[in-house]
Amino acid sequence: MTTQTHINIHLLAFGQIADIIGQSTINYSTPDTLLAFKTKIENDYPLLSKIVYRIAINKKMALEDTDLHEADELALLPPFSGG
Amino acid sequence: MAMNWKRYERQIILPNFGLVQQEKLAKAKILVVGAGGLGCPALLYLAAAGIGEIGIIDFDTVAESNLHRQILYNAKDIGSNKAMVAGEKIALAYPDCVVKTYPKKLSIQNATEIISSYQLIFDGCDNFETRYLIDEVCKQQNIPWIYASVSRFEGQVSVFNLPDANGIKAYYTHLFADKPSNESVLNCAESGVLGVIPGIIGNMQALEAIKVIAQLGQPLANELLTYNGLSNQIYKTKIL
Repeated sequence: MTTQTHINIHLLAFGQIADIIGQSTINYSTPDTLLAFKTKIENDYPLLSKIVYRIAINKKMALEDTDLHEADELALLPPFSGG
Repeated sequence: MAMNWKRYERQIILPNFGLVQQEKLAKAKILVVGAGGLGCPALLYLAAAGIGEIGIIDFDTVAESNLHRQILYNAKDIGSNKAMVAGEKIALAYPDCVVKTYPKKLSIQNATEIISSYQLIFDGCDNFETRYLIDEVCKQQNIPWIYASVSRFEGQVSVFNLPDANGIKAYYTHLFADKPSNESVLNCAESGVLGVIPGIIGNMQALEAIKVIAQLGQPLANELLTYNGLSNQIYKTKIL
């Protein structure tokens, strides 16, 4: 079994995700792949697994699993519905 | 129709704007879906800017709890259909603008016929059924549309089905492939909204509409903008 490298990223939370996380920006320690990040953040904040959201890495929407790097900026973006 | 250009003098003298762009606005046909918090300010500014024809579709009636943000309406309008009231007020204030009203819900049955009469669609709706319908019909009819939605002190804006500088077109389904249930996402009635936030976001949409029609600047094609009114931060991300 290999040990996954952990890195520190800057996390931006929007809409109801800021409520779930408790703030709109945090520094967050995570394994260095997107899928591992998603697993960890949904474990830390279980309500996230119940809602729809997208993840942007350095201002581009992530489409599939990818490597993360130290100091990356990840944004968690839920759909809004009010009009 | 002879245009009263004097009315638009201050925007005609702008750099990268002029009679040619003003004429594009005068010939433009925009459909505003939802005359609510986003639609009200945008209708005023789109008509004031000289948009030639505006369609307004809304099945809903004015309620007292709308009045803090839906600025076309007053207490006397409570109970009246929003499209009809908004249409009357816009037509009265902006006689150059041809206003068509549809006091009905945009539906699978009527969407193609209504949307295909316009060159640009403004999404001021408050539910996912309508938004996914706009996305689908605009894709079929190859019509760009201006998206926005608000949540509490924040708003999202984008322009879908319009090629970006690299020729890439994004659709709402590229952003959220699967339609969320309305219950899973808080709406204004449940989560609250500060009235000025849809005012700001609806006007950002109106600006994007004018940019698309006048071919001005860089519209938010293939980009999602999020505005936070409390921090004054704007976050933009590429969709594709």
